[in-house]
Amino acid sequence: MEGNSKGITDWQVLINKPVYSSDGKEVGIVSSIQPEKLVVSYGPITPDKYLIPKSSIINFENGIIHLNDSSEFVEGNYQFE
Amino acid sequence: MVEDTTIKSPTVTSSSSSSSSIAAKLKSSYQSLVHEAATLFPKMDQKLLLNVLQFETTYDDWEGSVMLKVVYPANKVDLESKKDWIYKRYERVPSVEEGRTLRFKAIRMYIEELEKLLSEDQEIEYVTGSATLTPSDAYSA
Repeated sequence: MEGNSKGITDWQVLINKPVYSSDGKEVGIVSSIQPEKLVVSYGPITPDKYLIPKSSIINFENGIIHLNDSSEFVEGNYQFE
Repeated sequence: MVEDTTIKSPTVTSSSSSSSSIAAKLKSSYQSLVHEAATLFPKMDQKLLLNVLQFETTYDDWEGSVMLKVVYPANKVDLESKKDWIYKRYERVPSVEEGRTLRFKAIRMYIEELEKLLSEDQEIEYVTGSATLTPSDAYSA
């Protein structure tokens, strides 16, 4: 179940797991799984939300999801709320 | 003799097994529904989709009150024309969030309408929001 994104068979295990950008910054926590994307939320009251393609995941190890994209790219391209 | 009574009665075992199989059947049906919903509406927030489905099928008089957020690809779409399109269609002026999301409250937003919305605008990347049972919410701020 862990390893490369293509090796993840049960995507539901990613719920509530932290997501980090390629430059090591925390993007947020996975709040839901869509067919092709993950919805990631950051912040407690009015959270920022990101729509992250599953293909951006390069690694899922020790309960942490690592992306192939930098925090700048994530902010500019994936945030929707 | 006295020690040998109660506990492992066949009736209890049978009942437990039967109820477990009913629970498994219900879970399996639900999982099939969730899977089909995701397949048929891949761009929809599945929680919103199932809420709309539940309200629509449970309450005949539900007015389809939904606070809708329509997400477009970042930096690739003329949002002003999308705002005009939404206004013409739903008579609501959407607000813009994060330069790619149009947010507005709508009524009569049933499953069929969501299907039309997604099929008529292929540029939509994702639809989320929340459905509410209270009709007055559709007109509040």
